[in-house]
Amino acid sequence: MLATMLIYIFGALAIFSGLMMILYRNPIHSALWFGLVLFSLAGIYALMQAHFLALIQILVYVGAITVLIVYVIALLNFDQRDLVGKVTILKGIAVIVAAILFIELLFYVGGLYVKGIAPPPEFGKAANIGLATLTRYLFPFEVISILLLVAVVGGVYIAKKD
Amino acid sequence: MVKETMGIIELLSKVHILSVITFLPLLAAAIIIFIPGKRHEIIKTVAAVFSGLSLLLGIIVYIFFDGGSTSLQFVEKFRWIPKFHIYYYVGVDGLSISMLLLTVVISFVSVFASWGIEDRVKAYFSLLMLLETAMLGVFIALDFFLFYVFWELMLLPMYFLIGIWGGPRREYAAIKFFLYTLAGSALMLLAMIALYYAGGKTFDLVKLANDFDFSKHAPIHLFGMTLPFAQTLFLALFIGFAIKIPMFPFHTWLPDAHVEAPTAISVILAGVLLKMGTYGIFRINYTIFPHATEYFAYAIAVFGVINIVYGALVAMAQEDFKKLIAYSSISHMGIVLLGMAALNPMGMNGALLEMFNHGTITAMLFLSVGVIYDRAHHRDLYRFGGLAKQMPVYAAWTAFAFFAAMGLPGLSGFISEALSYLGALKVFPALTVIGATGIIFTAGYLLWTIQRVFLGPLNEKYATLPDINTREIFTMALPGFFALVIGWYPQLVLGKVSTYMIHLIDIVTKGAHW
Amino acid sequence: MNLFSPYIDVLKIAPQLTLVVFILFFVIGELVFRRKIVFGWFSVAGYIIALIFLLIGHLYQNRVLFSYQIVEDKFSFFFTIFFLLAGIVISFFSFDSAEIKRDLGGEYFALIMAAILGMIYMAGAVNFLMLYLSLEMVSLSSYLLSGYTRDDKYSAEAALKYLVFGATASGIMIMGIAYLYGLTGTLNFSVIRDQLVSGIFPSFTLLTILFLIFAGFFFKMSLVPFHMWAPDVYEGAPTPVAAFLAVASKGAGFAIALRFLYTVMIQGSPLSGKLLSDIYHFIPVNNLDWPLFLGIISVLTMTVGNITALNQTSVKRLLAYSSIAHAGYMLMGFAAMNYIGFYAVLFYLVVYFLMNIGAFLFVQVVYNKIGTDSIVKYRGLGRRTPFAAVMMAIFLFSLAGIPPLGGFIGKFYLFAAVLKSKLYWLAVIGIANSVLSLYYYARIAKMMFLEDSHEKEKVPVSAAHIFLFVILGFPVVILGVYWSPVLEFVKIYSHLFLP
Repeated sequence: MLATMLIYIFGALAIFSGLMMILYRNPIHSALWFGLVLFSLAGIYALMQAHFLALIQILVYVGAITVLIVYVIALLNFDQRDLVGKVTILKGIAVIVAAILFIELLFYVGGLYVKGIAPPPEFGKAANIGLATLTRYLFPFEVISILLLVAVVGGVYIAKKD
Repeated sequence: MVKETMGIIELLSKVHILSVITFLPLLAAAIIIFIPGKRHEIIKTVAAVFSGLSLLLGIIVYIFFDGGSTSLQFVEKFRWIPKFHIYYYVGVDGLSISMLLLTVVISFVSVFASWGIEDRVKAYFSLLMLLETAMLGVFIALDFFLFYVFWELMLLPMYFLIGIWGGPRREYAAIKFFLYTLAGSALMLLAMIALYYAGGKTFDLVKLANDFDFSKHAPIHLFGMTLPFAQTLFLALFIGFAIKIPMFPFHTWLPDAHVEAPTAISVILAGVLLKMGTYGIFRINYTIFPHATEYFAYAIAVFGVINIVYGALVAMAQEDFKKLIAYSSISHMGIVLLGMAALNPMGMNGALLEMFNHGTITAMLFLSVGVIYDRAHHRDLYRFGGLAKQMPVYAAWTAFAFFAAMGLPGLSGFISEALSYLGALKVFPALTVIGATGIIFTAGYLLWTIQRVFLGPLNEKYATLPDINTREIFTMALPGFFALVIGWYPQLVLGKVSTYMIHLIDIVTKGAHW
Repeated sequence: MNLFSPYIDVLKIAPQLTLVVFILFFVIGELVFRRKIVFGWFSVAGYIIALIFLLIGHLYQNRVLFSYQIVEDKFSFFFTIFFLLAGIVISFFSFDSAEIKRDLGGEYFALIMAAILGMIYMAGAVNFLMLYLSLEMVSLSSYLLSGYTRDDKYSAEAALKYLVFGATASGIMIMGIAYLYGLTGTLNFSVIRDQLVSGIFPSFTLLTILFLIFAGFFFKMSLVPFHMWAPDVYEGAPTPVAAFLAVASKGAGFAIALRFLYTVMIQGSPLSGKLLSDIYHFIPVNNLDWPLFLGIISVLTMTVGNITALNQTSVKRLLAYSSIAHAGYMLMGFAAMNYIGFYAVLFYLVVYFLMNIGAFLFVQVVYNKIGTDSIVKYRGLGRRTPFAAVMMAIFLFSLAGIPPLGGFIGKFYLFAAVLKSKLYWLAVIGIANSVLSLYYYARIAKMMFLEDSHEKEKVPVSAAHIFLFVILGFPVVILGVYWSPVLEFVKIYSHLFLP
C-alpha cells in the first residue's frame, strides 16, 4: 500500500519536474530539474522491484549525464536573451495535439487494467540481469556495443580539428 | 500463281516481317548513335535507307495481305513476361494494314522533310527513328500491354522533337502535348489493368474481345458512385484515345504542338499520331465493348459534328498558316468520328479511308507550309500575296493539296468524306446535315487561304523567293500520289480493309467473334 | 533453452560480422592510412565479402537466431542484398564528391557501414528490442552522416533537424512499444501475434498503441504527416548521404513496416513462409478499415509530395519531395493487401533504388562542377555533359513512370495490385498523381535539353561516376523491356517467416 502511494508520489514529482524543466528559462535550472525527473524515475524503478536498474539510473543518468549537461551548458555560455521563445500558432497547435495525445493515452492506455503476471521472485536482481544479457539477450547486448561505437566515432569526428 | 503467292506469304511470316518492319528504324537509331555527330550526311542517309526499307517491306506486306479475309495475318506470338500473361503478340488485319502503310509512307516522307535539320542531327534522327518504331508498334500490337508500351514510347521522342527543334514557344507546346497525352494514357492504363482482372488475366486483345462479355460484369464503385463496368471502362479508354484524335474539348494541345513543331514532326503528328486515337477506338473500344459502343454511338457522332464545325470555324479565323491547317485537322478528324459512329458499312469504310486520306493530304499541307516557312520565316497569312507568280510550281502543289483536303471529286478526300457523310446520314440525318456544313466552311477557309497567299499583288519583299526544290517536290509527291490514285481507284485501300470493317460492324452489333 | 545457442548463432551471421570487422578496421585504420580514398575501396571490398558470405549462407533458410531476436528468411535475404548493394553504390558515389572530399575518410565509410548493418538487422528483426536497437543504429549514423560536412551550416542544420525529428519519432515509437509490452508482457513478434489473434485487448487501446508504433515506421518511410524532415535533410546533407537516406534508409523503413504488418498484424496463417492467399486481412483493431487507412496515408503522402515538388527551385529538394511521393506510391501496395501488392513493393524498391540514386548522382556530378543544385543552373546541361544528361533523363522519366523504363513496370504492378483489390479510388488518385509528377520531372529535362545557356564549358564526369551511371541506368532501361528475372526474384523473396 505504501509502495503504491510512493509510486504515485514519484510519478507526480516526475511530471512536475518535467514541466519545470521545460518552463524554466535558465538552462542550468532546467538541467537540475531534469536531474530530478531522472531521480524520480529511479524511485519508481526501485518500487517496482527493479533495484539494479534504479541504481544504474541514479549512477549513470543522475550522476553522469546530468552533470555532463550542466557542464556543457556552462561551457557554451549562452546569452539568456537568445533563449526567449515566441508564442506562435504552430506551437499552439503542437500543444493541442500533445494534449489530445496525453488525454488519449491517459484514458485508453493508462487507465487500462490488464491483469499482469506477477514477476518471478528473482526479478530485477543483478545476477539475473547479468545472466540474461550474456545468454538470451547476448545479441542485443552486442548490438548496443556497436551502437556505442558509432556514437564514439561520431563524437570524435564532430569534435576533432582538421 | 496462287501457290506462289501462298509461298511468299509463308516466307514473309517466317521471317517475322512485321517485327522486321517495326524494328528496322530502331536498329537505325542504334546505328546512328554510333556515328560521329559531325557526319550529318551519313546520319541522314542511314535514316533514309532504313525507313526506306521499312517502306519497301511495308508495301510488300500490303500487297500480299489478303483483303478478302477477316482473320489476322502475319501473326507473331511469343511469350514475353509469362508470369503476368504478357505476350509479344503482333499481327495485321484489315484495320491495321492500312495504318501500317500510312505510317511507313509518312515516316519515309518525314525523313526527307527533315533534311534541312542542322542542329544536333544525331539526336534528331535517332529520336525520329525511335518514333517510327513506336508508331508502327502501336498499329501491329495485339496484346494490350504491348500496345500500351508502344503507345507511351511515342511520347518521349515526340516531346524532345517538339521541345528541342520546335519554334519559339516549343517548351510550352511540348510539355502540353506530353501532359495531355499522358493523362489520357493514364486512364488507359487503369482500364487495361481492370480489364486484365475482369477478363481472366489476359492482355490478349483478341481473347478479351471474343471470350468475355463485360456488359454484365460487376459494377465499379468509385467515390461513392456505382458505375456500370463496361461503360466506365469504355469511357476511360475513349477519353484516352479522344485526347489523341483530338476530340473537342480535349483538342487544345494540338494547335500549340503543330505550330511549334518542326515541319517533319507536324507531318508525323497530323499524318499518323492523330490516327492512333481513332485506330484505338476501332481496335479496342469497338471489339471489347460492343454494347457500350452502341450505347455511346450517338454521343460519338455528336462530338464528331462538333469537331467538324468547330474545327472549320476556328480554322477560318486563323492568321497563322500552320494553325489553320491544325484546326482543319480537327475538323477532318470529326468526319472520322461521325463516320465511325454510323456503324454501317459505308460509314465505317468511309471513316477508315478518311483516316488514311487525311494522313496523306494533311502531310502535304504541312509540307507546303514548311516550304513557305523555310523561305519567308513566318506564317502570317496576311503578309503573303501573289506568290503564284513568284513560285508557280509550289502554288500548283499547294493548290493540289488544298483541293484534296476540300474533298474535290477526283481526289481522295472526296471519296472518304462522301462515304462517311452518306453512312452517317442514314443513322443520324439531322446531325449529318449540320456536319455537312463543315464542307462549306472547309472550302471557304481553304479557298480564302489560296487567295491570300497566292493571288493578288505580289508582296515585293518576296520577289526573290526561290521556287520549291526537287527534294520538297519529292516529299509532297509521295503522299500526293495516294491522294490522286485513291481518288480514282479507292479499292487500293478499300479492297484491303472493307471486308474487315464490315466484319467489325458484326462484332459490334451481332456479337460476332473477331 | 540451450544456454549456448546464442554463441553458436554467431557463426551464422558471417555477413554482418564482416561488416563489424570492417567498421572496427576503419576506426583503427584512420590512424594508419594516409590516402583516405583507400577506405572507399576497403568498404567496397567489405560489402562484397559480406555478399559472398551471404550467398554461401543462403543455403540455410528460415531460421531464428539468438533466441528470437532476428530471423533469416527470404525476405531478410532480399533486403540484405538490397542494403549491401546500396553500400557498394554509395561508396562509389562518394569517391568523387566535392562536398565531402576533404573529410572523406575512415569515419565516413564506417558510419555508412554501421547504418547498413543496422538496416540489415531492421529487415530481420522479430523482436521489438532488436527492432528498436537497429533502428537507432541507423538513425544515429544517419544523423551524423547528414551533418558530415562540418563547416557547412546547412548540413549542420539538416543534422540537427533530423536529430530532433528522429528522436521525437523514435520516442513516440518506444512509448508504443512499452505500452504493447505492458499489454502482452513480451517483445517477441510471434507471442504478440498470438495474443493479438486471441483478441483479448481493448481495441481502442490497441489502436492507439499501434499508431504510436507506426509513428516510428512512418518517420523512416517519410510518410505524411511524418515527412517534414526529408526535404530539409536531403537538401542540407551531402548528396551521397541524401541518396543513401532516400533509398536505403527508406527501404529499411519499408522492410520493418512490411514485416510488422504481414507477420504480426495479419490474419489467418500466411506465416509458414508463403503469402499466397489472394486477399489478406489484418487483425481487426477497433474496426479500423486497413485498406482505407493505408490508402488515405498513401494518397496524402503522394499528393503532398507531388504538389510541393512542383515549384521547387533546388533539384535536391525536388528529389526529396519526389521521394516522398514515391513512398506514397509504394504504400499503395500495402493498401491493396494482396500478394501482388507485397511483391510490387519489393519490385518498386529495386527500381527506385536504381533511378533515385541515379538522379542524385547526376546532381552530384553537376554540383562538383558548378557548385549548386539550383534548377535554373541546369540550363543547357544536355550539351555540356551529354552522356550524364541523357542518363539523368532516363532516371527522371523512369521516376515519372513512362514506359519502356523500369519505373513504369514498378508502377504497373502497384496499380495492378490496387485494382485487383478493387480500390478504384486509390488507383484513380494514384494515376492522377503520376501524371502530375511528370510536370516537374520534365521541367528538369526541359532545362537540360530544351534550353540553352551561354555557359559552354564541359561538365566532367569521373570514371567512378560513369561506372555508376552505367550500372544504374542500363538496368532501368532493361527492366522496362524485360523484367521477368527481377519479377521472379521478388516473388520468390517475398516470403516472410515467423516461428
